Amino acid sequence: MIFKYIVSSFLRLLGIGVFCVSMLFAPAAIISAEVDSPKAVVETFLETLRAMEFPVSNSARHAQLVKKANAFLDLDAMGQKALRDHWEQASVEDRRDFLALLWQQIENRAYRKSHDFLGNLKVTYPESHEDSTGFVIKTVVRQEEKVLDAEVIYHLRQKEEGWKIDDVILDDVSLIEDLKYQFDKIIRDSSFSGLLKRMQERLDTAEKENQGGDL
Amino acid sequence: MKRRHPIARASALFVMRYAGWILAGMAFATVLAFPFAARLKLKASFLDLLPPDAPSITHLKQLTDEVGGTSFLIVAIESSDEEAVQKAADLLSNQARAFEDVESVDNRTGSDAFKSSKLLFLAVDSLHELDGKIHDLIGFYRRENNPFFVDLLDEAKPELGIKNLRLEEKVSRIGGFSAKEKHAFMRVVLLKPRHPLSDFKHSERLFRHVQEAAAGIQESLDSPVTFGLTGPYKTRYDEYHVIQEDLKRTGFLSVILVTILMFLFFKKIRIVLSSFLSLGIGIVWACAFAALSVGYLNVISAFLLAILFGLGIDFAIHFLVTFESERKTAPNTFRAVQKTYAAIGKPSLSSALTTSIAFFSLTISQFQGFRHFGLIAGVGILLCFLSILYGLPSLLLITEKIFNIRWDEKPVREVVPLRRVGFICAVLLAGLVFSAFSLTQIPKLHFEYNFKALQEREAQAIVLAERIGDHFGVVLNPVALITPGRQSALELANRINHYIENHPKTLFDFAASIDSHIPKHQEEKISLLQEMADRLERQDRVIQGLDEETKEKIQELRNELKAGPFTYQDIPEGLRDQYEGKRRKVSIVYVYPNASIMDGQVAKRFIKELRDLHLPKDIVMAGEPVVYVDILNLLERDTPRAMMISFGVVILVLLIHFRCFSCVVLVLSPVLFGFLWLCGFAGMTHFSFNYVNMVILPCILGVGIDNGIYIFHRYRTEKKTTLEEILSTTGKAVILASLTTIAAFSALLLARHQGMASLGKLGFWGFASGLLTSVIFIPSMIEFFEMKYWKMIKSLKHQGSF
Repeated sequence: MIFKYIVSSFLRLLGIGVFCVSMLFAPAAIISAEVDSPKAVVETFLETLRAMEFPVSNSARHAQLVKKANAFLDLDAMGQKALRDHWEQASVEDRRDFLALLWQQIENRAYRKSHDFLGNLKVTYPESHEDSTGFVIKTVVRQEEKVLDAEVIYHLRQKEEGWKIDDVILDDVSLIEDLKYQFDKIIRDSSFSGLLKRMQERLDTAEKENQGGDL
Repeated sequence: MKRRHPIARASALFVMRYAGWILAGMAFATVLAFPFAARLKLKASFLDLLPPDAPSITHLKQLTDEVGGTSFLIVAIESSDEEAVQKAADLLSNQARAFEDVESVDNRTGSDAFKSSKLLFLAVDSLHELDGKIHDLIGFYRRENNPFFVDLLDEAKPELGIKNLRLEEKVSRIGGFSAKEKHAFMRVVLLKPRHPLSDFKHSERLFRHVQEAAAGIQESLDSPVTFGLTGPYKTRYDEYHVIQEDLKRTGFLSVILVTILMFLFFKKIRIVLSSFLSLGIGIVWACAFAALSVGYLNVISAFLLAILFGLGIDFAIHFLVTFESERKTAPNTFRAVQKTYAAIGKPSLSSALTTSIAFFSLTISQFQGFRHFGLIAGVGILLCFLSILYGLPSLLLITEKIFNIRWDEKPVREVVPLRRVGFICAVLLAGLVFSAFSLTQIPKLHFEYNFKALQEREAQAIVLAERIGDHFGVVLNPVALITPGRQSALELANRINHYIENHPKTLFDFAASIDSHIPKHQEEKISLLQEMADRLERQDRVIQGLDEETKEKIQELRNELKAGPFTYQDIPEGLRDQYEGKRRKVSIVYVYPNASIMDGQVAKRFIKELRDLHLPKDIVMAGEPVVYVDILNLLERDTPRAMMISFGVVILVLLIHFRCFSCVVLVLSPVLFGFLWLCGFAGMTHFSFNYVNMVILPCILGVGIDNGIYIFHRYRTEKKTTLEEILSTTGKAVILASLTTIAAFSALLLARHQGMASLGKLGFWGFASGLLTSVIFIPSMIEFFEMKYWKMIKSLKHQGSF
């Protein structure tokens, strides 16, 4: 009887301890519990995008969701890959400014577009597999009105923080390749500072639109 | 009088005694001549200006026999709806094939083979460009669809059109691809008529048939479609009709103006009608002579009627002015007629002879236009002279008797010779100053080589032809090189195209043979098209998500990408006929100019460049541009030559007649100064000479010589030495004659045809210059010399020291 009491007390304490510990590391625990696989990363990422509201009515909530979505993207790597040689040639300040602007482009422009794209459409995950550099998740967005299924492929790479999306491919067009095409063209025409200026201009416009206009 | 003027007396007696018989004889001759005159046709084709055996004419005939010439009736079809344009072109082509006046129809892109192989006619690099466009378009939509797409470039939606892509052969531009211009698509259907260009009756019927068919097609289509006619058949027809309408309108106005002037001067309708009737008889005889000798009038001799009217009425005026003057002092009509013959018989005959010889001298020209004109005008002047010399007094006498008319007794105003030194010197000085000014204007004289500047202003068919030329980027006036076979045509076209590549300043745009209509590098192109088709197939999912218009375009492109090989047998019959004729015995190479040959200088350089290629002997160069250039060359060579010869002959005749060089100089001085002043007026008003108004120069020369003869006669024979004396009778006639001519030509200023209007302007300045020099400047000069040098010379002669 005493043994039974001791065991149950221990277990209760252990439970309390576990609860306390788990409470202590709650955010990380939640995330790690939900996104411990590449597919889960993509699912959560898309759900986060879907949860956003445009135009933004609740800035705090929007900022929280943006932060959450950002956590699934390896945008620094994507930006470096898209710049390639230009990254090597750019100054530290330019690199920093570039990445900051690229993040803002994604936050202020791409997320809204993705949100609109996803709408209430159903997303299926017909295929996923590993490749030499990471993991590939194939998704299909069903657009029944247009009798069209959009196939979007997410490429993920294992980072210290977990799986992160490092490219999005739609109909054979890679987001990195597209960014590279645009960066090359702008830098060729008007230098690296021209690229930063163009990105800032686009951002200013998008910010205004996000406050209440259409994209 | 009897001793001095036996011919005048004999003529007067003849008229007095046989006036009725003379008129009866003239009437009989006119009745005989009229059927021939009525049959006189106008051949408006410029082909009739060269001898029938001229090489360019025989070559053109050969070309016409083989392939029906190089001219078309072009039907331009326009609409904002591309499909409607295509359908209208196909419908019209099908209907036109049944028209009795149509030899063949070229709606080259209407055939199924052409339609399905359309992309094969693009250059290989353009097909790669098209491939790139497909890539760009698909890429654009894929990027647009990418939910993470960040647009930094503001890319415009790529266009999938093939209109701006380069065709492998420029000849494919002619109706090859329907191009959009200012929101309108255009297609051309080329109709080759069976009849020659100058057969306006059949052209008119063909236009009517096309317009009826077009109206039916317009009703059957949902989208509005417009049809426009142009091409040599239409522009030539329009020009002919504009000239005809101008001639009718301005001719009527000329007659009214001349009648008013005559009536104002003579104040008797009987006199005006008598002079018109006698002149009309002479013109009928001249027309009958033209019909019997040549058979037709060409575009140059067509001015004959106006010229005969202008010169012939002068004879009547001189006769009537003198007759009226003499009638006031003569005791009876016989004496008045006799004195009139005595006064103007010799100068009128001299004038008629010199003018007709001047015209006859044109017959030595190789240029048929001048030869016919010279012959008919030369004989015509003499016939008009005869009919006026005997017909007019006979008519006056007969009508006097019939209506029992008595001439008004008016006091004769004696002309008192006054010497007004200041006035004469001022006139002389002004004349010399203007002559000096005119000399400075000679280098500024401009010759307008561009035939477009001679056409009706804003003529619809010409404006449309220019639009078509701009639309397709091809000048539709090729020269044909007739070769014995397809292979030699192919080699020749290649040789000329190679020449074009190596001569950047050439006037050749491109050369095309029948093989130019067979796409080259077909294997490579078909493979490329297949790759494109596969790429589109792979992107079907993206395409299905696009807007309807883009999807339709892509579907159309997909159909075109299925092109199979296009061979010689796939070339439509109508197009093959153009190159090889119905008999397929020759093969033609068409060489297109890169600038408008409406500009005569461009046309001449173009043909010269072709001739300088030293083509093989079995190749014949033919086409209307060749004939046209031959005419221009002959005109430029023969006009100054003919003018010089005419002038030389006139000088010779005058020398033989007067046997005195200074007399000849005096007779010619009005015309010499007249031409000089004409240059002055032309330079001052920026007037341009051209191929049309040059025709009037012999007439100005003729009238100028007439004036000189009459003035000289008055001065020398009748010893009238002051300006006032000279002008008292002869001057009046010269003034009236010149005024009637000026009035007649002034009417032409209202012509819609710019060539005709320029003719009126040149006539106006030419005859006005002649009038001023004849009645003011030269008489003033005579009076001046009478005042100073001649008196001094006479006194020296008298003293025996000269």
